[in-house]
Amino acid sequence: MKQIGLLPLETYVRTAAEMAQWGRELPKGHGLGIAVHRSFVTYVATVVEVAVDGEGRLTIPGVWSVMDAGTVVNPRHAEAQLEGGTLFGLSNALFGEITAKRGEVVQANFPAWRVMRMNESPRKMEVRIVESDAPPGGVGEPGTPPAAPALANAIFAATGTRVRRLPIFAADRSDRIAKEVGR
Amino acid sequence: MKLSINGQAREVDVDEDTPLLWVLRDHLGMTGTKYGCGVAQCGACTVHVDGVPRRACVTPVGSVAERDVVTIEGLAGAEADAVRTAWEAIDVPQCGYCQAGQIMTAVALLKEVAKPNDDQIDQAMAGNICRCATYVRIRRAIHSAAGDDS
Ligand code: FES
Ligand code: FES
Repeated sequence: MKQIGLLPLETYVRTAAEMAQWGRELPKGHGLGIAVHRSFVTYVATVVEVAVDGEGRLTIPGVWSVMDAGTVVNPRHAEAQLEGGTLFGLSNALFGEITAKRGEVVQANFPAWRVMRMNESPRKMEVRIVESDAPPGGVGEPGTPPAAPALANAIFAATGTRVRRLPIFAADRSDRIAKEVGR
Repeated sequence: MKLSINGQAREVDVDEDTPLLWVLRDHLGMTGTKYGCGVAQCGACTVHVDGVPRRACVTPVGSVAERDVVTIEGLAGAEADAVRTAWEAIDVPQCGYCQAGQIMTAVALLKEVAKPNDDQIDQAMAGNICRCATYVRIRRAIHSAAGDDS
């Protein structure tokens, strides 16, 4: 029986890199990061482009993602899920801190728990579904895991500083990357 | 108290400081308008009051007694039609929970700015959270509803 993922991981990495035109000349302060992951039997590779300005403000101008989920029943649905799952992962990597105090979750509602909003979402987002007739894997969540490492790698490429802790922006709601990374 | 909701006169027996959202959902059974946070942070409860988007969760019903309230159930007109068509064509909703609020805000934007650019869209829509992160499609659908297919 056929299986998803008989292609080497490298195939997905290469496809995502091609989609993002890896190696192109980037504007100052920009960086590309890439990651690949298998979850729910499905493979996803993602490239994130970040822009960090002189003040350390971070934006995400572009995201490219490729998914091999075997046989896809509803390709438009799978594409939408890949977009949403990827942005959900980026949102969590940026802001998604959940802590507990005396047995209670501190971040009880949106004032205390920041999530990505429209103005923080990428202007450019491209997703691709690999054609396959292998038995189907999941499409809802596999976009999420590679988002954080792709983002962190992009920040390293842009700033030279490694992200060692997530979420990148802690609950103090600082939106400056410069003092947050490498803390 | 007398209200005008979607062009219809409605009468409800509630305190003036009851949030409009509770009146809509619990007293009038109009559940298209959603409860997300209750503190004006997510936009799920967006309705139009005299054509302007408002957060029903923090709007005391007494403050809209003399005004025209429009909810997702009664949203009509050229912009609303264009938004519905674009939303469907582009498959915007995922779970759908935030979408009534997104559509109310998008229609209000298009009534104000016929062809909004990305910055104007981002600014207008920043108050509407989508946990499924359909943002990229919302942006595309607003452009499509405005007639520029980019
Ligand atoms: S429920 Fe009103 S803004 Fe969230
Ligand atoms: S579609 Fe699920 S919250 Fe927006």
